[in-house]
Amino acid sequence: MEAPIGPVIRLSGVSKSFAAERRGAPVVPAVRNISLEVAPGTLLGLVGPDASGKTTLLRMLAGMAEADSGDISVFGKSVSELDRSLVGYMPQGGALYLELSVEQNLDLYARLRGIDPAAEPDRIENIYTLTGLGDFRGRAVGKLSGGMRQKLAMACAVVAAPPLMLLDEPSVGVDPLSRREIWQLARDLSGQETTIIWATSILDDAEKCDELLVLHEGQVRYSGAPTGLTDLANNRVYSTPVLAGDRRKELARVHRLPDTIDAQIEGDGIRFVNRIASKDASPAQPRAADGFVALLDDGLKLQDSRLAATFPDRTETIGQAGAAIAAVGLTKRYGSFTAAYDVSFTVAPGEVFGLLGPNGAGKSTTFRMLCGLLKSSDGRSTVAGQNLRTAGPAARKALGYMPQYFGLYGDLTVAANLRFIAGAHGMGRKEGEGAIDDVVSALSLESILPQRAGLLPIGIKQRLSLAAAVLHRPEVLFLDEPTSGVDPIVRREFWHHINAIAATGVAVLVTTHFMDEAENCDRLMLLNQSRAIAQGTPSELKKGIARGGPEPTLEEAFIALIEAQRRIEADAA
Amino acid sequence: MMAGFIWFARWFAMAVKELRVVLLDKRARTTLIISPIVQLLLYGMATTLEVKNVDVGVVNRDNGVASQEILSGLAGSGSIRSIRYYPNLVSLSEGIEQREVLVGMSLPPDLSRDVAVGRTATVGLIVDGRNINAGQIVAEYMDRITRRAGADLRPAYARDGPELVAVHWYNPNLDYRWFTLPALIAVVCSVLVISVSVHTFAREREAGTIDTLQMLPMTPGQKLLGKIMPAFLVGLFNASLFVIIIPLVFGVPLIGSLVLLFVAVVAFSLALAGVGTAISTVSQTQQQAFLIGFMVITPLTLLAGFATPIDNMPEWLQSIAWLNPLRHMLEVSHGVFLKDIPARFALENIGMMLAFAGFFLTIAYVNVWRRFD
Repeated sequence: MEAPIGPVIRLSGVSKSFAAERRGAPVVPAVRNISLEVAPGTLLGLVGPDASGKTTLLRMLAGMAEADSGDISVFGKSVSELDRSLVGYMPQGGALYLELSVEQNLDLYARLRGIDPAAEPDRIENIYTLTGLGDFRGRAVGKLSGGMRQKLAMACAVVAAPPLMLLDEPSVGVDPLSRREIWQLARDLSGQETTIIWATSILDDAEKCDELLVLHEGQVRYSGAPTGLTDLANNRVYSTPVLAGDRRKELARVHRLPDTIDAQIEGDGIRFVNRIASKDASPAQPRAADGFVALLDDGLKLQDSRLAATFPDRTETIGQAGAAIAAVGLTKRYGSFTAAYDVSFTVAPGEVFGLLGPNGAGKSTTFRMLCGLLKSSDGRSTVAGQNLRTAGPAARKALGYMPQYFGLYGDLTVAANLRFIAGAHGMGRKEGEGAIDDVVSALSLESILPQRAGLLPIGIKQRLSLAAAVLHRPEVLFLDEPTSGVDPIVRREFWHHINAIAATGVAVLVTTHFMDEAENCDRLMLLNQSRAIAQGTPSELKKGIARGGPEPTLEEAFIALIEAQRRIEADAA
Repeated sequence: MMAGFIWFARWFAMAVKELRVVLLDKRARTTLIISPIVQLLLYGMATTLEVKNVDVGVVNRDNGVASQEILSGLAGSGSIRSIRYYPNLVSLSEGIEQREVLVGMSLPPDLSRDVAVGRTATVGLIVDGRNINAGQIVAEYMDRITRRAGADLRPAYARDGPELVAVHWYNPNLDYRWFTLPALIAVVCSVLVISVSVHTFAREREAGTIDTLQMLPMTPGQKLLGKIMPAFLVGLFNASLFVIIIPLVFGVPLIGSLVLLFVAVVAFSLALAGVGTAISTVSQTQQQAFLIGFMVITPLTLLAGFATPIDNMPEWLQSIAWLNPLRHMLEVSHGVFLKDIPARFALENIGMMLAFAGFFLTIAYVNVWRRFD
């Protein structure tokens, strides 16, 4: 008879704190009193908002950080005596050398883990097949798309097929299609007995795990099966239909109700999580994300966006003919490669327009051409009636810009960053102080004003970026993957502000991977392989592929549309 | 009026931000303020064109009055630390080989007799050519000592022919510090200004903040003039510090116009900030920018006339050196410190530096204006 197999990981009462940035300040607890057992072959989802302790916990399991108190044992041994070859650790964003090629990176990691790539060509070939990176062996990693990079990072971490895989946000910043592929890859690279710890802030990922551990402020808030998390929202999730023109007004109304925990636009309705059972609205199927917000409910009512309240009332421009943003046949070629081809759309004042597409589809290229950061090879574009490429610096006053990666100065304090932005917009001292006070109090940034911006957690950085982008109350907002890497709670708060700002008459252009984010858009354009393959409202896109069956989710519509184009391309070739 | 104010506000925001970025870094702060002072002190003490503490080897086969005279001359010289005696030329050459002594002097057996009868006497001198600077200077000392010995022994011969009486203007005692320290204003400041300014745009590119910067409604001029402020002020600050310390601590006379010197320092800092910023606009990373900056500093320093006189260089190199802002700063600095340079002459040099600044700032401007596409 086989001996019973003990847990792969056993934690009891583990805590860890970090020294404060400034001397004399209290220590910052990262992980508090965590106990946990993980059986072999389990896929454990480590879920939590930013700065909840996920990465610290993973680093302790990998033996890269030491616990202040408590015991950690991995494979029955203290983590300090752990045989490192049993663990494959993928740090956040991977640890790839951007200047080296795909092949050089993979070979390097294989050798570091004691595998000679020449001696085991089958294993290496198998990885190329599974990741789909076979055609990109010679390409520098810095030139890969985000999805490919994550796949390679994972392959490098687990090339030796270790029995324990620790993956820190492997699916962050990638589109739904790549996310599915990364999940599949993790399954393919692991065996029956492989234990996987998967840290994520994306709740869709969490539903696919065997077990979940929800962390919040370093503490375990939930431990158990994903269904248990979803059950927390049982009889709490409702949906109420709404007319297309009233979506934002209705959303704001639902948010104002005393029992609403969270609400968001979805299709032709408002989907909301309530604190108590409601009789007025029709119930909806709960998801893990709903359970998550119900679990972390702070009991407060989401206030009307005070950020939007600082904007001038431009509602009379809503519905006016003159488009706030217009692109006509925008095309960008790099030599023989076309990064964007014949992209045309308009965005009216008060409208939120989303650019969707897989990594590398041409979203960012289109976006940068509109901003004037990139010269188009062909076509025209105007923003607030001006071509930003030729109009000169003053024309840029009309727009607020939030870049994909944190675009403020990490060495400077939050206050110094905001003062710089105010000055750059030509505000005098008094005017600038007033504008800064407005955004700081609207986004509750007071406590972090003296801190260095680069050291803030990602969710706070994202709020600061928004503050900087709207400091001058622009009439057009450009948001490039604004919520990439932040947790659902921060994302919903962010969209609460954006929806309210759009309602004042601001035109918003957003690129995104997240389907719940895309649901907030009035209209969407789906880009794939440098071309626009679909354009319309979220419902139109869904109905377009429904073909009489039940209405698909936006993610299903997204994947179906892209696969349809791939088939057409394959047939043509 | 209002437009002017807004222009100023934008520029000011840029300049303040840049200053914060540079000065918030504690290590950078130390490097920018402490290191110039340390360098000044080091140069003040270490660069010396005098040779002191020399060890001399002697093979004395004479033992007469002439050799006595020469040896006492050697012993009395302040520059010579010790005299070692060797039995023969072979062991002397070994002594030089082993670096026991820098020069060897061979006093032939008939030295005193030759001097006594009035024949031309010869003293052999072997100089270690591996240490050419010190060796040459010591050889000159030796020449002086033997001549003086000869003159003391046979005064009649010494009075033959005209005597050269040299007076060193502007530096009567030939104090090397009077030459090196004013030159340091140009040399040390050029390194500081360039190493601060090469990072300006390269840093933004590396940190990914360049897009934010370009999406702000600032003109290329505001960005550029804001960006050069830290480097410019670092240059100005350190040059001013040097102008105070050099006369007060090292006693170098400062007899010319301080205003001229100040104007020259302004033009000089602008010129080098212009070079550094232009480098920064074409660099992808800070490391690249730093390497290019380093490649520029070295020839600028070499062609400044600090280490080697420009007049000794080939003619084509002299014409290139004429474009070098360092060289012009050096001329003004030496001129103002040591000889009250005429304003017209100083302004010529200042004009050259301003032209240089204008040229490189234009390059930087065009690059910023093209937005790095």
